[in-house]
This record gives sequence, C-alpha cells and structure tokens, in this order.
Amino acid sequence: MGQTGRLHPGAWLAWAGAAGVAALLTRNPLYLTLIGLAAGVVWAAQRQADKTAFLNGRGLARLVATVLAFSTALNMLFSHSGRTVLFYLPSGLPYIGGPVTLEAGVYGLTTGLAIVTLLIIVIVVNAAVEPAEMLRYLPGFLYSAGLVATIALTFAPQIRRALLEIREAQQVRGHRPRGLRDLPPLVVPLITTGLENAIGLAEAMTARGFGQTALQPAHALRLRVGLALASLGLFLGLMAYGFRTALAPFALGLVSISGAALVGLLWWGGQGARRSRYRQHPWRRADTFVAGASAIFLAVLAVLYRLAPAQLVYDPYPRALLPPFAPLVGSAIVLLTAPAVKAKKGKGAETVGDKP
Amino acid sequence: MIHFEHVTYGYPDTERDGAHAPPTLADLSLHISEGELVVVAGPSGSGKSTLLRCLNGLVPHFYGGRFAGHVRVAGLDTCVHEPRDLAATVGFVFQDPESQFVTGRVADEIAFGLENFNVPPTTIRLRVEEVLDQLGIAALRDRPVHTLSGGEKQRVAIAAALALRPRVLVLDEPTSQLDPEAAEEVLTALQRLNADLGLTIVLAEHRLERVAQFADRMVYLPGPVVGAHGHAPLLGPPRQVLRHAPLVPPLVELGRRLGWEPLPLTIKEGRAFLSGLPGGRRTEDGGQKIDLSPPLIREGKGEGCVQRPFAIELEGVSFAYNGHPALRDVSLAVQPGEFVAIMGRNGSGKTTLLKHIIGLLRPDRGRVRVMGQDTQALSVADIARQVGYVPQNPGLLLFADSLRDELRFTLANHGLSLATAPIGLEALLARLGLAGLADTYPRDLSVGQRQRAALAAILITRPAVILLDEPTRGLDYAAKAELVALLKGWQAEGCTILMATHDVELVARAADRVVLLSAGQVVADGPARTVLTDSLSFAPQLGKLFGDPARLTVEDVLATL
Repeated sequence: MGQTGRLHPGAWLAWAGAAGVAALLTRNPLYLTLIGLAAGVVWAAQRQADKTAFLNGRGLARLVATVLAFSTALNMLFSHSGRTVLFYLPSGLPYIGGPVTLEAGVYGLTTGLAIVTLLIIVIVVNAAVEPAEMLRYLPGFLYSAGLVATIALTFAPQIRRALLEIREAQQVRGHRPRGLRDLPPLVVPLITTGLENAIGLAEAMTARGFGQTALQPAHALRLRVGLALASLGLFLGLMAYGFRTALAPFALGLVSISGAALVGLLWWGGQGARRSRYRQHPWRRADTFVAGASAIFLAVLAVLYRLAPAQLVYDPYPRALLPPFAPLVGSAIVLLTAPAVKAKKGKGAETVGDKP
Repeated sequence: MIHFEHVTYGYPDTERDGAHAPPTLADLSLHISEGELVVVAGPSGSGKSTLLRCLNGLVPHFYGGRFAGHVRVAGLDTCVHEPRDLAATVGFVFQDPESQFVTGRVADEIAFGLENFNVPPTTIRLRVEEVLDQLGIAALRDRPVHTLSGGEKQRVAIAAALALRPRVLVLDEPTSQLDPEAAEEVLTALQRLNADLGLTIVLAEHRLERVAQFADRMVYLPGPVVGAHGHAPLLGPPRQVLRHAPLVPPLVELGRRLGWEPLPLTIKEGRAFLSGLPGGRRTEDGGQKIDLSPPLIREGKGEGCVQRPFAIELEGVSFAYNGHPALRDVSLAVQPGEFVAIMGRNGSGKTTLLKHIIGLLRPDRGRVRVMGQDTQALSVADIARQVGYVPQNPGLLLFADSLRDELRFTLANHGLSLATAPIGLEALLARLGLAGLADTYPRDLSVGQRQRAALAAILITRPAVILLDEPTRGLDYAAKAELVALLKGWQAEGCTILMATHDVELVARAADRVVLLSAGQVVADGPARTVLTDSLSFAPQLGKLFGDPARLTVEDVLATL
C-alpha cells in the first residue's frame, strides 16, 4: 500500500492527542482499560493493512503483560499503605519488608494501564506516520531543524549497527570490554566513522541543492531575534502563571501575546521559504471523520472533567472499591476506534472517493 | 560544456614539516563537450574524487583549500556559483549509496532535490515518474530506501540526481561498493542515459574493464605529483590512454604485451586475435595440460606464521538472522595451507560464513569445528588467538593514535607485548609495505594503507588462519597486486587463507579453490580455475576470452607462449 489509502498525519495526531490526553487525565482503571483496548483495536487494524509493522500480536501481548506485571509487582513490594492486607513480608527485608496490600496492587495496575495505553498509542503513530512525512507539515522556516531531527532518527539504527560491527571487530582482536578504560576501542571508531558519515551526508545534501536561504540575511536575523523574544515572553508568562496566582491576568496576557507573535513570525518565515512540497497528503473525508471523532471525545472528556471530575479520578487508597463507571463515557471511548474503521475501508480506496 | 583551465588545487591541512604537500591537482586543463561520456581513472589518491568535486563546486566551496585556475560548467564559473546552486546543472552521485539518502522512501528521495529548487508539486510528480521509468525502478516507488539492494540504491541515487534535469551527471565510483551484477545494472543504466538522452557523463571508476568500451574519452590521473613536474595526466580516447596508463585491465595488459592492434577493449574485440595464438580458443579436450587436482597441502615451515596447522570443518551449518535464512545446510572442509575464495552476490552469506568460523555467530543447526574443537565450546577470544579476521571496513578496527599503539593493543589483548610478539613490529610493517609508518595516525593513511594497517593489527599475533572479508573494496590494481603478493607469501609459509570477495580477477590470481555461495547455499566448490571458467558472472576477463582453465591471468597466457 502506498500513500493513498492512508490517513493524513494530522488526523493521526488528533487521534493520538485525544487518546493520550485521556490516558493521562483519568486514573480510572475501567476507562483506562477501554482506552487501551481502543488503541489496541486501531493497532490491529493497522497491522492488518501493513504486515511489516513493528511488533506482532504476540510481541505486543508480551509487552503489555510485562509492563502490567512489573508495575503491579513493584508497587506492591514498595508501597505498604492500604487496608486490605494480603500477606506480610518479613520486616527484616530492607524496603520491601512489611504488609503487602491489595490497594497497592490496584494502584500499580492502574499506573501500568496508563503506561501501556500510551505505549500502544506511540507504537501506532510511529508506524502510521513517517518522520519524513511529518516534515512536510512543518512551517518552511523550521524545515532545516526538522530535517536534522528526521535524519537523526533514521541514523539511530545505523549507529546501533555500526556499534555492533565495531564491537565484533574488536572482539575478534581479543578485546573484552570490562571497564571504562576499555571503551576507547569501541567509542573512537564509532565517533570517527560517524563524523565521516555526517560529512558525507552534508556533502551529498549540498550537492543536491539543499540549504538555499529563504530570506534576505537581514530579514533572517530579524526573524531569529523576534522568535527568541517571543519564546522568552512565552516562557516568562508560563512561569509567572505557575508561581504567583496574583500575577495570573498579567501572565495570561503575556502568554497570549507571545504565542500570537510566535505563530505570526513562524508563518512569516515560512512565507519566504523557496521550497515546494511534493505530494502533501490530501485531507479526505476519512481524515475529517477521525479528527472529528477525536474532537468530540475530547469535548466529552472536558465536560466530564469540569462537571464530574470524580468520574475520572480513582484512588484505591485507603480501601479499594469498585471504580465508578458511566456508560456515556464508556461509549464515548468507542469514538477512539475511528482510525480502525477508516483503516479497513481505506485499504481499497485509491484517491478521493472515500466515504465516511 | 566543461572547461578546466589551469586548475591547481590542494586540500587544507596538508602542511607537514612546515612545507606544503604537493597539490592534489596540478595545472590541469581539460575540455569536455556536450554528450560525452568521460571516464576518470587512476590509482587511489590520485585526485579522481577531487577532480569530480570541482565540477559542482564542492571543491573549493565545501572543502576549502587553495584553488587556482577556472572551472566552467555550462557557462557557470564554479568559483562564483555555490554547489547548491550548481545542483540543477550538475547532478552528483557518490560512492556509498547508504550515506547520500535523506528521506525514507524512494519517491521522496527523488523529489528532495526538486523541493529544494521550489519546483511546483505537479511538475515534481511528473519528473519523479519520468526518472523512475528512465532507470527502470518504477516498481520501487514507495519502497523504504533501506530495504533496497545496493544496485537499486545506487540507481535511486542516480534518479534523484537526474530529476533536476542536470546538463552533466557526475558519478564518483558508483559501483565500488557493489557486486558484479549490481555494478552491471548501474553501468548499463548509465550507458543508456548517455546514448538515449545525450547526457554528458563524467564517471570515476576503478574497474576499467567495465567502462572502457563505452567511454568516449578517458582521463588518467597518474597519482601524487612527485618532484617538481611529476607525470602529466593522460587524456584521450580510451584505447590511446590505456596504451600508456600504468594500471589497466587484464585484457588490455595482454593486448599490450602481445602487441595486438587495435588494442582490444572488449572480449569480442579480443576474440579476433585468438587465431594468431598457439592453442587459440580451447577445443573440446582442452588445449593445455594443467594440473587441476586440489592444491598440495603445504607444511608449515619454521619461519611460517603457523603455530599448529589445523583444519576448518563446517557440517550442515544453517543460520538465520531473525527468521531470514542466511546459511542453509553448508558443509565445507578447509585443509591447512589452502587459499579459499568464498564468492557470491552481496547477501549470499559470505560474511555470515566467515563469522561462524571465528565464532562471532554460532550455527542454529550443524557444527563448526576449528582447531579440532566445536566452536560452541570455544570463546571468540580463544579462536581469535589462532584465527585472524579482518572485517570489511578497516575503519571499524583502527582507533589508536599510532600504528604502533594499534598493534600493541592487539598484543596486549592476547597477553603479549611488542617484545614477546611472534613477529617483530618493523618486520611486519615492512612486509605490508608500511615501513616507517609505525608512528603515523592510522586514519591519515590512504585507503590501501589503511586496509594493510588493519591486516597488521590482526596479523601481529601470527594467526594460523586468516579470514578476509572483501579485502579489495576501493583498492586500485596496484594495491590489489600488492595484496595478492602478500597473501601468497603468507600462504607459502603455511597459513590457511579464507577470503570472501566478488573480485574475480583477484581470485583468479590468488586463490586455489573457490566456494560459490548463492542464497546461503554452496552451489559450486572446487579448484579455482575450473569454477571460475564454468561460471558466467564470476569469470575473469581472460577466462571469458579463452574459456580455458589454464589461462585465466596474463601470466598464465604468457607462460603458454
């Protein structure tokens, strides 16, 4: 499958944002489980469309089981509060000695669920959106920085492979790394070959016309100063808001002014970039569907957060009770499976005629 | 189209002992007309890459240094125009296909240059499709770049350069990292671009036997300028240049020795001269009598590198990387003193096989026996004491500040010192042609020297078995000849040598036995002469010409006269 049947990176980001915010906001294990399941359904649909995706079903199950077990066990061993004592560990044991409670287990499991859900979201987005594709949606001015980041990402596996090869080569020379002093034979070739590669790439990119300056030098300088000032304003405003409630109106004002300036400057910088973008992903109805579903879900979540925060917050301590569950929220979470619905339909669709 | 006028160029940092090192290019003048295909040849370090980089301004803009004279390409002076502006006029393809890619997918990679030049998306779409078709890689459009084979990668790199519709295409040894078939793919594509589109192509290449036939002209750079004048570069039609160039392919070498006129560049042209030779082309029962029995097993002599000779045995070895089979049921026995070449395409399992012998990999099934023991029972360090393994890229090994420290490090790993080394440091370096370089920083050495420095770092412990992985990558004819002499010398002293390579000429001159791998299986195993003569893709030039196992090298042929 090529570019065509796939969702727009923006739609994916909307989905990941909604699911991620939900996973971070709620501590209710029932909702967390549902969100995790929704993400899992999306993952499965995506994998069906593209078999080469990272991790197979068994791998994912193993990952989920490991994280849940680890998180639960760790909290049970180290947190000794809670009323429902399951058993006692000899108090002589450092740190882990003492009562082992059900509450600690539930708390650990809830944390594990949140981590697992976020992991699945990251895995799905990572497989669905290529870094190079994201690059096309950056404002032109940020393109260089973005490109560096993408290249770094693609170089990471290369570096790992190089390190492996170097280790083998030195091992064959009888080298057995035992301490810090044995590192140079591994690190020095890695750095030098890395630098050689970097220079080679820089040369290749220059030879392919990269790095034509978009703006007049004077404008570029003004833009840079402006960006720095706006960022500083944004930072100070956020700090002020966080530290002194009395300053809140002033802080909010500063934040909004700096934020607007930042966006404006980036837009202006992007205008000057003499750089075209090949095959930007068209935004189709399927993308609207996914983004819309994500937005509705976020709205439900926001309303809930405002009106009945107790729904989202669940604290097993001091005594674990059944968490609350509202069917409305449960069904809202189903909205998060939107990409899965589209992924299946999108497979056969070639260009535009993709009905929501 | 391209004008070099009295170009003199030296890289920065070449000052040593207060004096300027000789410039890489000295007073070079050269004119290339539109539509020509020009091959730049010469030993490594002779300035081929430098010459090519002058064409798009990477020299001097990217590298700095001292530049005199003028280079004009399509009317643009490279001193005035920056390389990134010249990119639309001069397409450049680099040696290593890995290190020139920026994005993840083939189509995006091709579009990258066009995006840089702000070409409208609709035009980009058209151009991408166009070059995909021109290079016959349309099927690869949406493939991630890292899943492609070497030849495919290099064709994508060429497509990416062509997408900008440059007037000149420049390629810096585009086939040096490829196996023979992949190299053929790339060179055929180039030849077609030149013939069909009239594209001007400037190509640096070591393997002249592949390109001499379709080059319009050839530039031969003789190497670092020695003394005040040095040798002037040779320039002219391939036949004329090859008549005088010191380093030439075997067929040309033979033609020159036997006074064939006009000098043959292809096997086809060579055939015409065969009738005049005693023996001619081999008849049914073979013209010459030659001993095709397996080579004699040599006894290690006192001075030899062998501690105790031992055989290497692989029995039904299978191995898979993450489920991708790399070796399938490979059985192989190597006797002490043999010189075995392991040949096959890239990815056919050559390196995997060597890594099994040194113990870096353990078989999934089957057994590997070294020094009379199963490798399962030995550590890599144990094996490494008697088996030396020289990896493909010598850059992976070298890390110390001097060659001496490099050798000291290997010895220390094996519990030895320079005083107790089985061979003296100076003696070893002298044999490797590195005399007097003991205190040099290894990465300052030339490609060939670096390769030999890596050899030295392994051979200082005098292993009984030497494993070499692609030892001739990037080496010119002279460096290869030196390597052959060296290896034959070690073999004569009793060493067993296993060499993974796809360099057929090297194998024809050095190896006794050839093991041909394909997709992880042994498809041929026998005396080098018979295997090389029977194979189509792994036949040396003179093997193709004579079809006679007794005449694979120039020396062979001359001996039969």
